[in-house]
Amino acid sequence: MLTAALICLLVPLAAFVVQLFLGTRLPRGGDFVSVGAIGASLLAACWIFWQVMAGGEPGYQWSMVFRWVEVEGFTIPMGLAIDTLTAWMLLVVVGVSFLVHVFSIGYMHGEDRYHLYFGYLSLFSFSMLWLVLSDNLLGIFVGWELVGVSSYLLIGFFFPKRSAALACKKAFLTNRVGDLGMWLGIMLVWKELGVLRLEQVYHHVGAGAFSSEATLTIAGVLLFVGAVGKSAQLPLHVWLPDAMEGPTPVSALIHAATMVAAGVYLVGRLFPILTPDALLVIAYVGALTAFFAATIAIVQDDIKRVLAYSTVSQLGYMMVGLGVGSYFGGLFHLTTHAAFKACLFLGSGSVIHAVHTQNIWEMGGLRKKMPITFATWVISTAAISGFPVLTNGFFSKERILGDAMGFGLHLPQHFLIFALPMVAAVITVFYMTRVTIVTFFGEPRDREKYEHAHEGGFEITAPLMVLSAITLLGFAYAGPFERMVTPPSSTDYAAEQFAAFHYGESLRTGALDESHGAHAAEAGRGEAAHEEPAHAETGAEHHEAPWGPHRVDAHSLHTGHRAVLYLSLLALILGVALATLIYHRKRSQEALARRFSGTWRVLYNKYFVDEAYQAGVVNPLLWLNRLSAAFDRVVIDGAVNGSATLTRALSSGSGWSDLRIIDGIVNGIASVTQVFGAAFRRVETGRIQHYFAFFLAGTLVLMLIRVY
Amino acid sequence: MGNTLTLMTFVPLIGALVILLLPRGRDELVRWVALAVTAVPLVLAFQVWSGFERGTSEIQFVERASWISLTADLGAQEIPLNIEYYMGIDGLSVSMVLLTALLSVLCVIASWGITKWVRAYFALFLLLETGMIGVFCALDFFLFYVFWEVMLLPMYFLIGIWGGPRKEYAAIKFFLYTLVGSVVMLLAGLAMYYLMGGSFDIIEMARILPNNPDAVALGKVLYLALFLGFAIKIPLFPFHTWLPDAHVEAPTAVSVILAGVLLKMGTYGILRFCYPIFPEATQWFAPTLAVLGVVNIIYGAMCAMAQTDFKKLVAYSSISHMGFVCLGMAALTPQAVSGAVMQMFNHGTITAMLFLLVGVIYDRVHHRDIERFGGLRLQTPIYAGIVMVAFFAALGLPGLSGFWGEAFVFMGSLPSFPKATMLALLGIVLGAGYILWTYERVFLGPLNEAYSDLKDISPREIVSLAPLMVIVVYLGVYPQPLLELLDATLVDLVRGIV
Repeated sequence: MLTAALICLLVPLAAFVVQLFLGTRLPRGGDFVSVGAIGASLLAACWIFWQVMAGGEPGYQWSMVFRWVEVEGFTIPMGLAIDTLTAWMLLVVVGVSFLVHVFSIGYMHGEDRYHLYFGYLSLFSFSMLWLVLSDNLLGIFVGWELVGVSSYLLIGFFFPKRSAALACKKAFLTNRVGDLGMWLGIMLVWKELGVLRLEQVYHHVGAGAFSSEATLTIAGVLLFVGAVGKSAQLPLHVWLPDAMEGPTPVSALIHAATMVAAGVYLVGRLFPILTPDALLVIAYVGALTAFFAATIAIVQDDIKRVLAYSTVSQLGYMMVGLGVGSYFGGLFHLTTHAAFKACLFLGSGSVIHAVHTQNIWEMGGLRKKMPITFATWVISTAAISGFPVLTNGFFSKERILGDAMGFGLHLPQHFLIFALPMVAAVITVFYMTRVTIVTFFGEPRDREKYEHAHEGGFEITAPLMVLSAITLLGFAYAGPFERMVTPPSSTDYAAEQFAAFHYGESLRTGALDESHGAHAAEAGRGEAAHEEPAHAETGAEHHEAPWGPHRVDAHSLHTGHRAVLYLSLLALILGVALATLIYHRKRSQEALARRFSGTWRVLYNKYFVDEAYQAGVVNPLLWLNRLSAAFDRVVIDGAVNGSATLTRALSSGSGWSDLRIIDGIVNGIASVTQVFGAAFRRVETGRIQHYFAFFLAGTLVLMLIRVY
Repeated sequence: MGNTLTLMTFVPLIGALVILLLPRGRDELVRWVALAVTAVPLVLAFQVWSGFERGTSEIQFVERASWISLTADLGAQEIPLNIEYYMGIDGLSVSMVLLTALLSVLCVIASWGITKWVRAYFALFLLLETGMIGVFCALDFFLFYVFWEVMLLPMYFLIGIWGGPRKEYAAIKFFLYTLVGSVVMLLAGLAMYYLMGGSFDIIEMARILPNNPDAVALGKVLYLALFLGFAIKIPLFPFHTWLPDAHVEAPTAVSVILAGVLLKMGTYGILRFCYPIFPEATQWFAPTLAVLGVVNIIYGAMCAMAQTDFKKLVAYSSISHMGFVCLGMAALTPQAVSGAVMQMFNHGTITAMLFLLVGVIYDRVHHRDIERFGGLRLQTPIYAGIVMVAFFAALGLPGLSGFWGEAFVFMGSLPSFPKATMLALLGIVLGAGYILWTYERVFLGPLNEAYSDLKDISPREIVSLAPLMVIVVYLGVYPQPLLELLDATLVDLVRGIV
C-alpha cells in the first residue's frame, strides 16, 4: 500500500522536476513524461482502490506515520492515510487528471511554454494527491497551498495577456484570505488539543478535549473559511470566474473537478468534529452560494463563465449536503460533479478549440459539426440537471435536496436551506438548456467560424466519451459509494454522543418520527453535546452504525425524498421548457435584457461584488498603504531628519557662540592685552632718561593729588 | 578542531591584510583571493555543522583565554579589569554563524562587478566578515562589543563609498543610529560588569545575575538599554527608517549582508543578553515586544505595498518579516522561540535571494522602478522563475523554508497572545499582496518593448543564487535539520524565563 501510495504521489512530482529542467530539450516538450507519470499514478490509484474496495469494509483505514519534525520543544509527525473516501478521491483526482492530460495534448498543441504547461499539471497532480493522502491538518494545509500555487501558475499560463495576469493574482489572494481562516482554525485545534493528526483530533474531540463547544464551533467555522476560499463559496467566490483565463483543460481539472472540490473534501474530513452550529453556517453559505451563483449564470455570454458560475453553484450544493448532515449526498455529489463538470468543461474546450471564441452568441448550430462533443455535452447537461436514474447527477443531487428538505421541514426557521437550492435547481436546468440551445442548435450566427469548425482529434474526443460514460454509469457506483464511504471513525464518536451526530441523526430519522426528530434536533441546537442521559436511546441507535446505508434504507425517509423527486422532475421540465421557449425561437437576448433591465444589469454585473470589493477593500487598503508610507517618510523620517537638523543647528549655534562669544572673549582679552601691550611697548623703551622723565611726571601727579 | 571559531573569525581579517598588500591594478586577482578567503570560513562552517552536537544546550567549540587582565584602583573599591577572549557557539548562534559564512561567499561572487577601488572594497568586506562572525561567537561582553564596533566601520564605508546617489546620507544615518544603540548598550554592559563584580562572561551573567537582587532591581532599566541597542538593529518600529535608506543606497552585496546578517544581530542580541540575564524584565516586556512585532509586520507590509522602488519594497518586507521574529520571541513558548530563530535563518537566506535578484535586474537596466517594467517573464524566463521561487518563499508558501518559521511562530504564540497573533496573520495576506502585485507588475502582462533585448540571468549570478535556492527548498520540505540545531538551547532558554 505504501509503495502504491508513494508511486501515486511522487511520480507526478518527478515529472514536474523533469519538465522544469529538461522540458525544452525533450521531444514534444516532454508531454509524454507528464502523461506517463499520471498514467502510472492512475494505475497505482486503481490498485489502491481495488485493495480498499475489495475488502468491502467501510471502516477501512491504512496509515503510515513518519517522523518529520521531532525536537525537544514539540513534535509534528507527517503521514499518509488511506480510507475509503481517500480511495474514491484518488480515483476521481487521478482519473480526471489523466483524461485532462490526454485532452491537453490536442488542445495545447503548438502553444508557447508547452512543456511548462505539462510540468504545472504534474505539480498540480502531486499537490492535490498530497492534500488527499495527508493524514493530518498541517499536511492538508501544505497540499492546500500547493494546489493554490499550481492554480496560480496555470491561470496565469497565458500571462502576456493582462487579464490572465490579473486573474491569477486575484485567485491567489482571494484564496489567501480563506487560508487565513483555515490556518487560524488549525492553530486553534493545535492550541486546544496539541495534535493535528485527524484520527487523534477526532478522538480528542470525541473525548471532550475541547475547552468548550463554542470554541469547537469557532474552530470548525474557521476551518470552513478555508473551504470557502478554495471552493469559491460566497463571499470569496469572485476568483473562480476570473480563473477561466487559464487554459480550458485546466478549468476542467482544477477549477471544476478537483481543486475547488478540496473545500468540500475538507469539510467531509472534518465532519466528525463539526458542531451543529458550524454545520448550520456551512449549510447557509452553501445554500446562498448555490442560489446566487446560479442566477448569475443565466446571463453570462462566455461559455466558460457560465460553467464557472455553475461550478460555484454546484459546490454550494455539496456544502448544503454536508451542512444538513448528508455526508453521502455532499461527497457523492463531489464525485459525480467531477465527472460531468469535467466533461462539460472539456466539451466547451472542444468547442472553443473549434471556433476560437468563447462567446456563445458567436456559435450556433454546432451539433452537426461536432456530434461527439454535442452528445457528450447533452449527457453531462442531463446529469447536472439531475435527469432521473440514467445520470449520476440524479443520485447525488436528489439526495442532497431530499436531506435538505428533511432538514427544512423539521427546522422550519431554516427552510431557506432547502428552498434556495430547490429554486436553484430550476435555474440550473434553465441556464444549461440556454447554453446548449444557443451553442449547438439553431442556425450558425457566425458563418465563418462555423465553416471552420470541426471535431477535434482522438485525444480530444476520447476523454469526453470516457467522462460521459462515467456519467451514465452512475447507477452502478452510487450504491458502493454509499456503502463504503462513511464518516471516519464514526463508531468511536457515536459512543461519545457527539453533538453533530445527534443533529445528523435527527435529520434522517426525523422524516419517520416527527417528535423524536424535532426533539433530537432541538437538542442538537442546544447543549446537546454533553446531555447524555436525555438521549440515551439516541446514543444506542448511534452504536449500530448510525450512518450505515441499511439504516437509511430501512427507514426509507422517503416521503421527503419522493416529494423532492417530483419537485426535481418539475424543475427539469420547467427549466427546459422555459429556456426552449425563450431561446429556441431565437428571441434575441436583447429583448429579454430590455424587459428586465434592472435585474439583468445586476445579474450581468454579478451583483457588483467585484466593484464592492474594489471600493470597500482594495482601494482603502491602497490608501492606507500610501498613508503609512507617507507617515514613514514625513513623520518618522521627518523626526529623524528633524532631530539631525536640530542637532546641526544647535552645533552650528554652539559653533557660532564658540567662535564669537567664547572665542570672542578669549580673543577679546587677548586683543585688550595686545592693545595694552602695544601701548606699554612704546613706553618701555629701555632708556634711562625716559624712565626718569616718567618718574618725575608720576611724582608730580601724585603730589597734585595729595595737595587737592 | 580546537580553534575552529578563531580561524573562522580571523582568516578574513588576514585575508583583508593580504589583499591590501597585493599590487595595484590586479583586480581579478583580488576578487579570486577574496573568494578563496571567504571559502575558508565556509569550509569550517561545514565542520561546525557536522561536529555540532544536537540536542544539548551546552556551549560548544569553546576557546577561552585571558585577554586583558589588570587591577584598577578605583579609590574605595578595587575592581579587577578582566576581559577574556571567550568564543563559543550554542544552538542560538550556530545557525547564524553558518548563515554568515555562506552569505559572505555568495556576496563576494555577487560583487564581481565592482570596479571602483576593488582592493579597498574587498578588504573592507572581509573585515566586515570578521566582525560578523565574531559577534555571533563572542561570549565575553567586551569582546562582543569590540566585534560589534569592528563591523560598524566597514559597513559605513561600504555604503558611503560604493553606494548610490544618496550614499552619504544613508551611510551617516546608519552609522549614527547604530552608534546611539551601541553606546547605550555599552553602558548597560558596564553596569552588568560591576554587578558581576568584574566579569564580562555572558554565560556567567546569565547564571548569576538573575539571582542578584541589585541586578533584578536594575533589570528593567538595563533590559531597556540593551533592548534599545538591539531594537535599532532589528529594526523595530519606530527606529526602522535607517534601513530602507541604507538598502536603497548600498551596493547589492552589502544589502544582502545588511538584511541577511546584520538585522539578525538585533534579535540575536536580545536572545543572548536580555532574555537569559534579565528573565523578569523579559516577562514584563514581552507583551510590548509582541505589539511591536505586530506593528512591524503590518506596518512594514503596508509600507512595502506602497513602494515603487523594487529594493525599497524588499527592505520594507524585511521589516515586516523581522516582526514575525519579534512576535515569536515575545511569546516565550519553545515552539514560538524556535520558530523565531528559524525565521531568522530562513529570512536571511530568502531576503538574500531577493536582494541578489534585485541586483541582477538593476545591473542590467540601472533603475528599480517597478512601474516601468512589465512582461519580463517573456524575455527572461529563468530569472523570472528564480524570482518566483524567492517570492513564494518570502510570502510563506509551504514547501519553501519561509513557511515553517512563520508557522511555528504562529502556532507557538497563539496561546500567549491570541489577539496579536490574529492580527499578525493579516501579515501573510498583506505579504502575498505586495509580493504578487510586484510580480505581476514586473513579470506578467505584455512585454514592455524597452526591454526587448534584456539578457537573462548569467551563470555567475545563478551560482550566487543556487545554494540559497537549494537551502530554501530543502528546509521547506524538511525543516528538522535546522530545528534540531537550535531547539535544545531555546527550550532551556525559555524554561529559564518562564
